[in-house]
Amino acid sequence: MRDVGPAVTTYHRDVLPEVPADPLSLVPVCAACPKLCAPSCPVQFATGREAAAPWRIAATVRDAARDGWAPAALHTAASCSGCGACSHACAPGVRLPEMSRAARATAAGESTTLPAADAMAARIATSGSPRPPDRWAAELAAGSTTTAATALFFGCTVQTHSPAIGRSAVALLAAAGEVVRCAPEEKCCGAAAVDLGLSAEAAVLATSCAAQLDGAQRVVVVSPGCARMMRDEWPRLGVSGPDVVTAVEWLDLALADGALPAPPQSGGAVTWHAPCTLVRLLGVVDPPLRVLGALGYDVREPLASGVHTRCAGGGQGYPLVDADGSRAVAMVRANELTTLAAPVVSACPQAERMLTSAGAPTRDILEVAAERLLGRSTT
Amino acid sequence: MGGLADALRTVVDPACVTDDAMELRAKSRDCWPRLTVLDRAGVALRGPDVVVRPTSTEEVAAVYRWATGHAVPVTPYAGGSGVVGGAVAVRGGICLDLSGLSGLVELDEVSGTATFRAGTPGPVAEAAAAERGLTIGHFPSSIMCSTIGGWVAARGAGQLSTRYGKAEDMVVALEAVLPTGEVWRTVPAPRTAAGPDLWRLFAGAEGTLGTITEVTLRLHPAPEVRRFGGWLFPDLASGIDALRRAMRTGARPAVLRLYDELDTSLVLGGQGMQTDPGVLLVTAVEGDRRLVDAEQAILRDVCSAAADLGPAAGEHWWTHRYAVSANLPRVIAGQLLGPFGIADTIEVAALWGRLGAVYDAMRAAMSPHVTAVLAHISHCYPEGASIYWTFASDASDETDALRRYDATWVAAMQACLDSGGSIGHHHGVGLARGPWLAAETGTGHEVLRRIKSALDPAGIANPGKLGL
Repeated sequence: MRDVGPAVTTYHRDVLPEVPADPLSLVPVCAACPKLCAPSCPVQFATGREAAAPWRIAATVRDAARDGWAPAALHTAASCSGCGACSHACAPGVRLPEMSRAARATAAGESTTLPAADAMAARIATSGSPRPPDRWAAELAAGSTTTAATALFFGCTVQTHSPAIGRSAVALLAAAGEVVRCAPEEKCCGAAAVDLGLSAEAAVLATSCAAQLDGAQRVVVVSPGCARMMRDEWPRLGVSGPDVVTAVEWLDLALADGALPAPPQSGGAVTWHAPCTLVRLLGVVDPPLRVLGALGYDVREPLASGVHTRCAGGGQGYPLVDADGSRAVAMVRANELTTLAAPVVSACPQAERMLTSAGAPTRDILEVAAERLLGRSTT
Repeated sequence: MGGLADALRTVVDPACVTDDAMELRAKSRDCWPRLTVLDRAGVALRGPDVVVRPTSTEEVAAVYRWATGHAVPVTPYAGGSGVVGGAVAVRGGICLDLSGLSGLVELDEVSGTATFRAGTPGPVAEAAAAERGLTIGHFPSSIMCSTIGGWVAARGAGQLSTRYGKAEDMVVALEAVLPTGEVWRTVPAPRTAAGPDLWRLFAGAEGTLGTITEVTLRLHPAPEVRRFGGWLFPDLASGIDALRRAMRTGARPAVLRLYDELDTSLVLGGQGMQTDPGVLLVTAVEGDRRLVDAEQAILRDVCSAAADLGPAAGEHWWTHRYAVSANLPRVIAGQLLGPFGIADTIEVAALWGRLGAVYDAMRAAMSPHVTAVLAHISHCYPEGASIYWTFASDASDETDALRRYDATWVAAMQACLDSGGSIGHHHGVGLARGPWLAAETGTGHEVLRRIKSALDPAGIANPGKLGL
């Protein structure tokens, strides 16, 4: 009987280090490090670029503080999908996603912006929103109230690309007897602007969004990216909002409380992709697995799962910074997931889009729950 | 240098070629602390003119054929984890990024071997072995970013090398591409007397004779048990004697790490363990339970004059052995010894009969130049061991920082040579040790020069390294 564990693990910790007060304070340490986090970075692995390695991103930020921000330097510093995997491997406790975001904002303050940021800033200036006009917002908000204590927040990806997820969320909450408020013209939480270094725009968007949610005691958030923005970034921007609960956490509790009908017998096997923002940055690890179990699924997980999940390439605005790179990251993960030979399920609309386009059709946990529990398709 | 990139795009898949300025800059250094200090100071480093990332041996061969024909330097770079500047393209040219040559080719459970492409990262290779209940047994501090080919090219040593051997001990066969583009593959066999072991030319050649593209490694059964120990000796000499006696029994404990007084105080102090003055020995034995029991009995015997601290110190070292590598960047980042702090490690080797003298001489030589000098003795053999130095210092400015850094290295190398040690145990030569290689190898350096001249007539294979 062997009592010996693995001789090498590529991560140093299971819990992310705290975000330093100044996200750029550990830049010199990261830049001087002998690449201890190298196995962790999905961007470096997928693109094969040393320039995308965490240490090189930090060195670029360090050099820009001295030399100024050239567009190429900003592109390098922004080549981070925000997954946080490197932070698990980092003994000094560097938080690279936050460092990269801070660098983007710093560069923007020095009038060097990402091309995608310029386009987004222009859109915000003209329409007050970073995304095109919503096509389904009115439909999703139909039947909601404006005074409910619980708000339901869909986010840009659902509003722009994935209404089925929104419909599933609405149906599940209704089936659980929840009365919710949904804005017919939902404001952006500001995450998209933060991701591209648009600090001023992000603050305006966040304030507007918080005002729209004013009066709600809690907000059920479909997208983990939006949940993280509201929970972690709004306070830093001086914006306060209702308590944040991710939709999958709400679903987990609703199932545990018996607020939703029991599912039919076994649903077969599914492959669970743990989205990095949800599990790593928000710490929501077990609820999705409980949900899938409660739905009657046999859950398969790739080796890189839980808090050590692998990125799907869609976070922190990375697809807008480097479309080819984000596609490469998504393909690596998609290949990993498809080897498990079961339909893929996740809980992040952005991850699902990335994986689906990379050849691993992925559905949202809310969609499969609505089908299993309510017997309805919401596409 | 757009012409160089364009030319190479006709030789290999165009997608493999880049002259992106940020990528060239990223590939301009490895983990050599001297370069990290220069980078901190904003000194522009000479780097490659183009990066080529082949995905096949054939592409590697094509690059070398072209490079030889056009007298363009080729510098291999996989993980870029080397700490002696071996992957630095000092004369520009092509950075041959081997990270695209990654993956398991074949695992033979019956023979206990596995063939990996040279750019396979250490954790990936070890995971492949672990899936079958096996282990490579090679765990260098750089494992997170080092690769199979780099291990062999630099003759690296892992933390468990006393049991499992060094990188070259693990090689059963390899495939390499010569600078003139020929592909050379050796026959895998446990041993062969079919002429000289010519493949060993590549072990330690650091890319100066061509590039390793595939390695067949011997695997070991994953250990059944692993046990740790810790002892406190009154002084370094008694600890060294215990190491020697342990190794002379034929035992091969996976880990024997004897820290000198200063290192002991830092290690035990960092764990909150207050002890009497002395030197700490950390041990680990692993493998078949019967062998482990026997080795532990041997260690208890040879350490009978020391205070038995139990397994705690060893377990702590095991848990934190990779994280400690983050301490040097903290110094260079200005966190621990002021804004111009320097730090580096130097590993040497000596016979047991000379080890004490080498230790004393090097310590005396290095100490005047830096704030702190500490060492541990590890990687043990029946004949001797390695001394692994760490030095760190504050400095008044970047000029002083570099002066102290260089003075320490010069003093260390000369003291080692003068006291009968070998100037390098497992980090390689690269640029760091180049100036002293001829002094150590004597006629051997001329032999190396003639071999290189024969295999690399155009002088394009990692020029400027190994003192060549």
